[in-house]
Amino acid sequence: MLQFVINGLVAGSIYTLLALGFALIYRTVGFFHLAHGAAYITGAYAAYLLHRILGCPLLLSVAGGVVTAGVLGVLMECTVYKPLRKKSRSTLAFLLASFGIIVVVQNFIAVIFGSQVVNILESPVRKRIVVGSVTITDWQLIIFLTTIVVFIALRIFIQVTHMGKKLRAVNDDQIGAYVIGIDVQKTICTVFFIGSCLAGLAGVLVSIETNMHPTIGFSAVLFAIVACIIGGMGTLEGALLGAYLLGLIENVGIIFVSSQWKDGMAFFILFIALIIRPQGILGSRMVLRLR
Amino acid sequence: MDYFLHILFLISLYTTIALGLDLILGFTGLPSLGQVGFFAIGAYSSAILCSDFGLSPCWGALVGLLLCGSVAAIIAVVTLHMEKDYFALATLSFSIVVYATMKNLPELTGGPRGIAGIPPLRFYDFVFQPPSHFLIVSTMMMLILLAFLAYLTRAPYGKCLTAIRDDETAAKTLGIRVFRFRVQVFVIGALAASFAGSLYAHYLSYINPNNFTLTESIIVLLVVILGGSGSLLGCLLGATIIIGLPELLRFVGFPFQLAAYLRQIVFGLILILLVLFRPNGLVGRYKLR
Repeated sequence: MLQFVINGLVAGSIYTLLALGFALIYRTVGFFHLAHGAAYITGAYAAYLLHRILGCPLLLSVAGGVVTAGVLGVLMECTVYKPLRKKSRSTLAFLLASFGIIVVVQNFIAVIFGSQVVNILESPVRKRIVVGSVTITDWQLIIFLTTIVVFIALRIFIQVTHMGKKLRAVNDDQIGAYVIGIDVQKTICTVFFIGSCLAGLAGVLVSIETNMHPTIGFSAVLFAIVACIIGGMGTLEGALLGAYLLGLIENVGIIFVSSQWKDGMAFFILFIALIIRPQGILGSRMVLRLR
Repeated sequence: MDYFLHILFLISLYTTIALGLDLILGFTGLPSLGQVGFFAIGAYSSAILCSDFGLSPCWGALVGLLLCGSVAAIIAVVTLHMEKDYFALATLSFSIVVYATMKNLPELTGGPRGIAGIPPLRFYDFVFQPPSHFLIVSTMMMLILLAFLAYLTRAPYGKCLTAIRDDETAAKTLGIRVFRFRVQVFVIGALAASFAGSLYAHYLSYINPNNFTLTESIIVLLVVILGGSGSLLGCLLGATIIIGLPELLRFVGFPFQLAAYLRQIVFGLILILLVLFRPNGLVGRYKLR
């Protein structure tokens, strides 16, 4: 039982990284950035390219992967979302464009790297740490600790730094921020960079610990959305809470239901959450406009 | 020749599903991504009832329709209170849950291996041969739906739908029962997809969950948006381009797997470009603002 909880915490860590980036972006631009999954797999494959094919040291490849994902995020904003915003399109248009982006990126990566699973490290052997009845690998521990560190760093960044304050201003009121003299476009690009870096980090970590193939980008972002919605759309703490909850429910739920249902379970949870409490556990006022 | 008829069959099939989505999205403004879920339910209903229980195809299709209709009504009532983005997400989750269900219940749905040996359509002693006879049936199905929707959209019913799409609040002030209309079109769209699914099951005589994935959702969405949301004939045009063009490119001779990826990339690019530069599609009357 405890082993499942540990697994749940590790899975939750990955979801947290994804959900944090997603929530950050959603707070700023107001639509579901489905192409977040594209940053996820781009980070992983860039790191793979650097480490396995070009032979760079591991840490450098990880950093390279993360930065590449961030750059991709900025590219997406500048080439697709900015023009859409200039034409004042509805959020549905953004959603569809985002959909298109992730389809293009996923298949592009599949064309270049093939669709078989890849792992960044050559040997799948892991150092196992055994504490009582639970086993955890070294990378799983790294994933968990990294996530905690990243979350704290992000929180401090948002709360304390100058850039963080600009971010919060743009989140609250774009026009007001513009009036004060904040470069809204640059802030949005920064948000996309940070958010996509987080997604890329998640992708790199996953493809070190297990493996990666192009088609899981989309389901990854959907898990991030589930996590954000359950925990509370629009707050970092909500994303964290929802992500760990999701990871735990998924892994502990295996005790009761066969593991095949893992994916379906997540979306079933989403469905229920959307009906019962769409603003999530920690969420605040949310305009339910379709009534 | 058979291959050509096969393509025409697929075009008429996807047009039928797209017409359902056009009614929901193009005329009523609801971004539903659940059509493929209903397509799958209809196909699996026919498959299970006809191949495992030996019922005649009519019963399979009928049960599929009833099942889809009820599920659609429940889902509509439950999700139509949400914002548009969340509605799209909820319907997408529905399609994914359907896919997961089909994959994970081997006793009922054959799991990942699917269901084989679905009996062909027969009318007493006359056995429908794919693709030619099926093409006649599918074209009839498409034309009947087209005629029905043409009538519906030109009647006051259709005006109410476009009113709801364009300005929900104003529609309400005119006394239009928005919620009721939305549920109704959602169910109609689901029924269209279900019937198409039943026909598809008999045509292929073997279905598995991979026939009903995200790819199919993208295709249906693209057919409606490319052809033009709000235009019925636009669906036919969209389906012809989306289904027909990749088949033409097949003769260029890419390796099979590569071609599948390239096709997806082109679809994604078309979607992005459409949204950016021509949201009303080719002949659409609703700018997907």
